[in-house]
Amino acid sequence: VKPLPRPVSRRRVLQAALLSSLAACSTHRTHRAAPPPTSTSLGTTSTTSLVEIPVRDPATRVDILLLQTSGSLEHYASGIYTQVAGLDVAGRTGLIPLLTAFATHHADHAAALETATLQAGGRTVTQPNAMLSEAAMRLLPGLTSAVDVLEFLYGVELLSASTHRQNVGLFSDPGHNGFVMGIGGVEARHMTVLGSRIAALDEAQRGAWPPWPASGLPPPPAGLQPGVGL
Amino acid sequence: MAGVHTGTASTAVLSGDLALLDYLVGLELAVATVYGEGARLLTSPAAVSAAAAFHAHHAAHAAALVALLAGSGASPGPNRDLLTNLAASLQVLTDENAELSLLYSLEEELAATYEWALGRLTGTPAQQEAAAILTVEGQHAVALGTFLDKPLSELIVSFQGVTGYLVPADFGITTLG
Repeated sequence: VKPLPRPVSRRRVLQAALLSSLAACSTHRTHRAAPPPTSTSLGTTSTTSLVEIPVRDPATRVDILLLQTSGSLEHYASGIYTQVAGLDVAGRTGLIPLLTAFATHHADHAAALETATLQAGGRTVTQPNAMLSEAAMRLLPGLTSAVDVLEFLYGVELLSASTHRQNVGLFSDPGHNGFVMGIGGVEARHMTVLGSRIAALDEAQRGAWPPWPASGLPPPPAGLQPGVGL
Repeated sequence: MAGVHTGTASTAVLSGDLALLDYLVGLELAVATVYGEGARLLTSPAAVSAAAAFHAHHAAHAAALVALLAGSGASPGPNRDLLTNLAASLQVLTDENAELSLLYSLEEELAATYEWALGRLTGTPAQQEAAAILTVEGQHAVALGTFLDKPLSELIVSFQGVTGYLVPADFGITTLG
C-alpha cells in the first residue's frame, strides 16, 4: 500500500515566511495611528483577556499566527455584519434578522478562536482585522440596495471560508484542522443563503455569487494570508 | 489500523488515511445512488435542478477522493450497508417532501462525517480534500432544508459538529472507530 504524499518541505518554507510576518505584524500594530472599529464597539462582546504565554516552539508559533489571523477575520466579520445591520438599507429590505444571526455566528467563531489561541500559548487577538476593516469602511456607503448588501457580505463569507480551508494541513496540532473547518463549514453555509437570496433578487447574478460551486468542489482557497492585517 | 471493507466493493486491505478515504468514497457513491433513485419523486423545477446538480457533485466528490487512493489497490463502490439501511425508507417515500427530507438528512450526516474525518486524517492532501467537500455537503443541506421551509436557526448553527456522523462500524467498516 502506497502512503499518501506529505509535503514536508512546504511546511518548512511556510514556517519561515510566517515567522517573518510575525515580526512585521508586531511593528504594524505598534505604529497604527488609529484603531479600527472593534466588535465590542459594534455591539458584540469579547470574553477573553490578553494573556501573554511563552510559545513552546516554532511550529506552535505558526499555529498561533494562523489562529490569530483567523480570529481577526472573525472579529471583522462579526463587526461588519453588525454595522451593515445598522444601515438604513438593511431595515428597508428586511435583512436585519439574517444579518444579526450571522453576526452572532461570527462572534462565536471569534471567541472560539481566542480560546484556541490562548490554549496554543499565544496572545488573543480581540480586534477586527485592520486591513479588511479599512477597506470595508470605504465600501459601506455604496451599499444602497439589498443586492449590494448581499453581494458585499457574500465576499466576506467567501474570504472567511477560504481562509479557514486554506489553513487546513498547515497546523502542527492536527486537532486544529477539524476545529477551523467547524467554522469554515458554517461560513460556506452562509454563502449558500446569501447566494440564493441574490439569485432570487437577480437571477443573472447567480453565476457570480453561486450558492454552491457548480462543479461540486470549491476552487482552490484564496484566503487571507497569515499575519496580514493584525 | 487495518480493515477489510465489507461495506464497499474494495477488497484491498487498507489502513489509516487510505481506509478512511475508501470509506468516504463508498458513502459518496451510495448517496449519489440515492439521489438517482429518488429523482422520480421530485417535481418542482427548483428541487429537480438542485438535486440533479447535487447528484453530480457527489460523483465528483467520489472521483476526487478516488484520486487520493491511486496506487492503493482500492476500488470502492457504493457503501452497500448504507444502501441496505436506506432501502426500506426509499420504498415508502411517495412525494417530493419525503424525498427532500431524506436527502437533507443524508447531507447533514455527510457534513458531520467529514468533520469527524478531519479529526482523523493525517495526510495534508486528504485533509484538504475533506475540508473542501465538507463545505459543499453543508451547502447542499442548507439548500435542501430551505426547500423544506426549515428555519434558518435549524439550518445553520455556529459550528459544524460531528453529531449524526455516519459511524463506520454501522456501515460495514469495523476498524475506523
